[in-house]
Amino acid sequence: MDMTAGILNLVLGVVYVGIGTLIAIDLDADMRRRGWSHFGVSWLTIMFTCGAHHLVHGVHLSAEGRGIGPLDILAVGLGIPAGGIFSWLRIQSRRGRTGDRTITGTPPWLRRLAIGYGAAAALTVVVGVTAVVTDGVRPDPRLLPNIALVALYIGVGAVLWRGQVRNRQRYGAWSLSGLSLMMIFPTCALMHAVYVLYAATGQFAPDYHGLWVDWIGVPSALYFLWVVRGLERGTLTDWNERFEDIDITAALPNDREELIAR
Amino acid sequence: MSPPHTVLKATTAAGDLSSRRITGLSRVLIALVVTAAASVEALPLPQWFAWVAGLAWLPAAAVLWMAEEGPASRRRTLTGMCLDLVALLSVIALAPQLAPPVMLLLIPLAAAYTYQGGARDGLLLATPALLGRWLLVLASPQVDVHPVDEIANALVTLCVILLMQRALHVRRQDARRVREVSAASETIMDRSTESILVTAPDGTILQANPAAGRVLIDPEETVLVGAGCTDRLALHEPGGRPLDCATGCALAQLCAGGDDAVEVFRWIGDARQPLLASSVPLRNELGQISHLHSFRDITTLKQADEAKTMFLATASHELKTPLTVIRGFAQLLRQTITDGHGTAALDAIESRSGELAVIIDRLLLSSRIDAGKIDLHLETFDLAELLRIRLRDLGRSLGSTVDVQIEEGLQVHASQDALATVIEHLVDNAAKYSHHEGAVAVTTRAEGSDVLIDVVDHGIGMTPTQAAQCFEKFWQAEITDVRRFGGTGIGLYIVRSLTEAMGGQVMVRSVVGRGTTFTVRVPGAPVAPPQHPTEDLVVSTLREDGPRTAETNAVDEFMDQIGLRTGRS
Repeated sequence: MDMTAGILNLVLGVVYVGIGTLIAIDLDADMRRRGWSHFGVSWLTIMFTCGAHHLVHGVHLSAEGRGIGPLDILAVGLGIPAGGIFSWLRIQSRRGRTGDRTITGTPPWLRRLAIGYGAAAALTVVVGVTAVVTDGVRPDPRLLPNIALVALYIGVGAVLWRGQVRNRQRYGAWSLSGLSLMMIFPTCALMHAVYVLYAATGQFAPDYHGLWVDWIGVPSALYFLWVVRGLERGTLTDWNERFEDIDITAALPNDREELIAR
Repeated sequence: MSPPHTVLKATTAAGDLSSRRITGLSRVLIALVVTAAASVEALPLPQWFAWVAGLAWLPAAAVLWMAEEGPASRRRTLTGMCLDLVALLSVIALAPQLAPPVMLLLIPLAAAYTYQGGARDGLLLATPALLGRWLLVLASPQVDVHPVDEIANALVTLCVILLMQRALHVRRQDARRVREVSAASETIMDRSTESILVTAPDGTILQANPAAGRVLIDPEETVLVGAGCTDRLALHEPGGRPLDCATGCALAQLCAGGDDAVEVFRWIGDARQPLLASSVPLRNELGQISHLHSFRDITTLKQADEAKTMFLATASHELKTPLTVIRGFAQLLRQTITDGHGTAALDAIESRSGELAVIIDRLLLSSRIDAGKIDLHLETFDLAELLRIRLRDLGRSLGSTVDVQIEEGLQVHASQDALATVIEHLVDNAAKYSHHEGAVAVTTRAEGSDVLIDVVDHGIGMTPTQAAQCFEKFWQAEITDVRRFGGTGIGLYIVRSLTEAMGGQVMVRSVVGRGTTFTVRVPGAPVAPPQHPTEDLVVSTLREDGPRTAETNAVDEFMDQIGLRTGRS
């Protein structure tokens, strides 16, 4: 199980770094013509820092013999589908295919999936509180970046969720790409919360590799939250808000998450 | 009342959004660096401080940064300043040896506050920070105080604040100038009665003023900006060819980079909308060329001009019929009246009515030119033969000496009647403005493939300004010229129109008090029809059956009508 989780983290890390590289290539080509893109740059930094985090985590699990607890497995189990779907759609988009799928209305399976995710999150909270009560807490300042990331990822997830709801009302359908991106952040928050829980209750010790990667992730997450919040509120302008001859209908399937992020 | 955009916005005490963002971000980055360093015990700070920094200072700084996206708030600025002071002084209080690196953090923060709110805000942060630092360091027995370092630190901070204040002052001045120029430009655009458009290199309309909206938007369309100018404006050259911007701005090419406006038109349903248009290239920093166009709807002017032309044509035509009768009967009376007084009266009637007939014929010809009802039959003929016949008759009727130097064998490709009319008008004009004793000279010569005809007088001459305007319709050098020399001011207009219609050109050189030389250049060999005739002309008033003066034609016609011929040729 630990080895599987480690390999999955390594794969996810490589995919995220790969997506970050593709974004960097796109930005390099387009920023000269269209100017600075806050969304593009913040998304790039998130992909690189999240990718680095998963790579470090994967190395710890697969090569250094670190174990993971049941909550960790649960969090990874929730996050891998979201991250996998998002990455698959990005690769599809890069290969010139449709980078999104629409889900008309709110089908029952989607409701059940949402309930399942909610139940898993609730279960994690309950188990965590129980562990804190029974095992006691050994606070360590090295857990601060993970605590900050939990708060920031929940904030990003909330903004993206509001964007998804608005798009659902506007188009009468959910965007699979948007939903998967939106779900990545709460599941990431869950993973970091589990890490804090296990480390604070002494189940494994904080390490300096993850510590530095997570501290680098904090400003990235802050920047991304600032960008998506600014785009949502209209205080920030980005590529799509400038006057250019852009074929909006052609952009919708591939760049739906950019629109959703507003 | 001034339009809203002319009101200049003053910078608020809380700063503009970009400066507030910079201050907020500086605060977050400082909190982040200190918290991260404290969390890994890289700083000699207690663990509880790392927790407080991570759970209170950093989140508070982040919240303030995010809140800057909302409306500006002085209270928020002061709250952030208090947070910064408390946090940084707390670091110094807990670890006095960290005072120098904390000062390094204070300097950019003070610069950010100065950039946001001026030197006052920078000093508001730096002064208590420096005083607090000195007090805390002096109160700490473990740290040695170096007065020179402390003074240097304070001076560096002060210099940074003053430099930033100066930069801010210059920036605000520049911004104010830009706003003033921008507001003035917008006012000009908005209030101009000219329709003004800016188009991108690909022909997309980027900007349009309200006048353009009124003049250029079709009834079924709603917007101009964002549309392609070829499709939305659908302009045509006067000849009817559509302007196509596929290979660059067609209107700019039509204007040929000059400042002069050109006439174009567009169809609005079945109605033709004539426009006077100009185009100026605008080059941006990237070297891309957009174009600034102005359009003026000249439909009303065109209608007025057409009405005037119609009036002149109708009035001239109506005057011609009774005049012909008068002249005909005067010639009829000459056969019966033989006494001196009666003959003198008949001479006066014939002379004056002849002058009037010339004026009427000129007005009619001018009207036909304006209406585009003139077409020319171009042929190759011997110029010398034409001039000999015409100038012999003309010199006799003008009562002036016409010195003719004709080069034999010059073949021209033109209309005989039109060229004869041109020469007659120029000689008549030269005789009119010459001194009584001065002779009029007509010379011809070949130049390349063209033939040049010079008509020279030694009369009153013209100034350069007058020479530039002399071919305009109804133009006279002076208002008093009408009285002094007579005439209608359309002779030279007819000369230019007919010459250009033959593919030629007429030029003028003149010196005040010394005379004027008009040079007519006509093609000397068969050439293709003129590329850009001013109008499609037909000198229908001139008979095709031989060179005759215009006034003779009308009389002859009348004489034919009443069954009498005078025998004049």
